Parts: sequence; structure tokens; C-alpha cells
Amino acid sequence: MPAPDARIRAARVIGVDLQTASVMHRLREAGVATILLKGPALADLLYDAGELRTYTDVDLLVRDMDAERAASVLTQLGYRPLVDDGALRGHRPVHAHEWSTPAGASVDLHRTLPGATAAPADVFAVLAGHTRTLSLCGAEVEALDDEAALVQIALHAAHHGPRSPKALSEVERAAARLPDRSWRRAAGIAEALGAAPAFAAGLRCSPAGTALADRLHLNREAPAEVLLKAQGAPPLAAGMDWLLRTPGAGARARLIARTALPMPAALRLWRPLARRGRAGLLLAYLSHPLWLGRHAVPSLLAMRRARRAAR
Amino acid sequence: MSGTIRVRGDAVEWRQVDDEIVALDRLAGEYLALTGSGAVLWSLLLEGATEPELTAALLARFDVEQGVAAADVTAFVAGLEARGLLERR
Repeated sequence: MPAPDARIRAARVIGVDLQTASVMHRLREAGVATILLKGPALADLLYDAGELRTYTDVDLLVRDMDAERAASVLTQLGYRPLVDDGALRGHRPVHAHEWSTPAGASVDLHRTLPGATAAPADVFAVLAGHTRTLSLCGAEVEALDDEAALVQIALHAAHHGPRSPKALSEVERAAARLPDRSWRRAAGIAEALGAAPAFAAGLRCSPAGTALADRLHLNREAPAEVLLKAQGAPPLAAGMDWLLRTPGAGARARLIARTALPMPAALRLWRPLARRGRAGLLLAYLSHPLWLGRHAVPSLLAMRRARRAAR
Repeated sequence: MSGTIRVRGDAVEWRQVDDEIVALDRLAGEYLALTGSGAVLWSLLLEGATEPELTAALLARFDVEQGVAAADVTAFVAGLEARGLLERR
């Protein structure tokens, strides 16, 4: 008999699946094409009957040009964005925006995938050619097909690195379950997304994935930003790398100022403490200098190592 | 009553966790946990089964007398029917 905790997780998964079907239906009614990236799309690929893949939010890819219309639909459904683009001006672009309701339902609206360097419109176009129809809670939804899901699994691992044991374990599962010919096709999709370095780095986050990457003769070279993410570098390291890649002294000075004294929305994105109401936000602001000081040196060292490795 | 009994797909969402079924009764907005014989019967009801077939499945899986198994099936089916989660054909 499973632990009571497993029942609660199963109940939550059912709730998220219902939410997924409902949100995708409403977006489709509004003329917004969406592709389900994770959740149930990965559950039947990686898990046996009786094994529960736990997830708490909905990950949807939308066309870049549809992002505003999708935001309007989510707003009508009672969702609010955690942070808008304006609050992140000058910072590293994010691949997805989190929307949530006061009741705790959450949707990650992706315009691209982490690690993909192709234009968002091209990312959607490539992945739209790699979907399958999934029956979910009485509705039919478009989800990534098996090969595109493998790309998502590898990029997810590259984005989180050792910070997400689940992401790494899913690379292991996928490496064990899918034949090399599927992975070769996945490598081709990653190439089309401009995500080949992140795809390889994601695979190399786990032992089975490393063996697979070697069999596929995937390149070991990757940009510093990809290496930093895949290695689970301290929180400021990728930002420092972005700072060095930002052209112009003025833009760099503004970026440093916005990091030292960020807008509330940016602080909420970076630090979960800032999401805990006004008190949490105040505490996050008060502790921000300490937070920066604590991570500055390890981040700087990690950034320098990654930039040397990327040369 | 006889005939094939089946779970109404539009009335319930369920997931299997190990040998247990966690189901959401969408009509009542309540979660159910089915273990042991309940989970066995549930898997048969997804495909559709008659009450004698359900009883036979319990007899094959559990050390139980025919009368007890039949009574358990009747009670289980009645409970789900009262919630509107089953259909008969």
C-alpha cells in the first residue's frame, strides 16, 4: 500500500491534469496553439503503470506572436504573472513566464526552451512538427512526440543540473528506455533548435546520459552559460557571464544597478522568499546585500572556470 | 440487475499508485482511494464486466467464499452507482 503522501501527490497530479486540459482548451478556443511540454506528456514515456510522475504545474509552449493573447486568456482564467518582461529589462531573457492563481494553480508559459538559441518562432515551428495527440481528462491535447520529448528531457536537465535530481533521474530513465535511433533523431531536433550544446550537456549530467552522449559522438564543447547551468553553478554566475556579454559600459552599469537594487518582480523571480507576501518581500530586500555577498565570490570563480572551459 | 457494468470515463479521473487507485469523483468533487479488492474490481470495471465476472475475479485473487465475494461486489458496485460513476449496458 502506498504512503498517504503518495495519495496526496496522486490527487494533485489529477488536479494539474484537469487544469492542463482546461487551460489548453480555453487557449485553443482563443486561437492560441499550444504544445504540452512535460507533465503527463512525459509520464507515459518514462514511467510504468503504477509509478506516479509527480508534477505541480503546467508547462506549455506557445508561439511568440501568440504570447500576448495567451496572457489575456490566462488573465481571464484568474492567473497572474509572477513577473513581467519590463521588470527584467536588461537582465538575461527568461525562456518562460510563471502564471499562478491565488489558489495555487500554476502555468509556465514558454516562448522557447532553455538552451535553444534559435528564434522563438523557429523553436515553435520545429516542435510543432514533432507532436502527438494525447487524451487527457476527456480532452485531446497536443504534446511533444517521443523524440522531441527526449530533447525537452535533456534540456531540462541542462537547465537545472544537479539542483534537480528528478531531471537527472529522468535522463537516466529515458536513456534506459529509448533506443539510440530515437536519441539520434532527438539530436537532430536539438540541432534544429540551436540547442545541440545544451542537449549534450544535459545528457552528460548523468552516467547513463554520458555513455549515451559518447555513443552518439555528441560534442563536449558548450558556451559558458550552458556549462554553468548544467553544473548547478551558484545563482549569480550565469548573471555575471551575461554581464560580461552585455555590450556597452552604460548597459553594464544599469545591469549592475538593477541587480543590486532589483524591482520587486525581479526579486520574486530570483528568490522564493520574496514570493511570501509583503513580509517575505521586505525580508528579501533587507537580506539582499548579504545574499549578493554570500554568492559573489563562488559565482565569480564558477563563471571564470566555465568561461575558460568554453574557450 | 445484469449486463456489463463500466466506469463512466466522463465522471471520474483516476491514477494508479502502486496497487492502489486514487480517483477523483468529478460529479461530487471528492477523491476516493481504492485498495485491495476495490482496486482489482476497478481495473475490470474500466474495461467493462458483469457482476458474476467481478465475483469470479475476487474468488480467483482472494481466499474468500462465493457468497461473501458476491456480496462484496454488490456493495462495491452499489456504492459507485450511487455516486453516478458507473453505466450499465
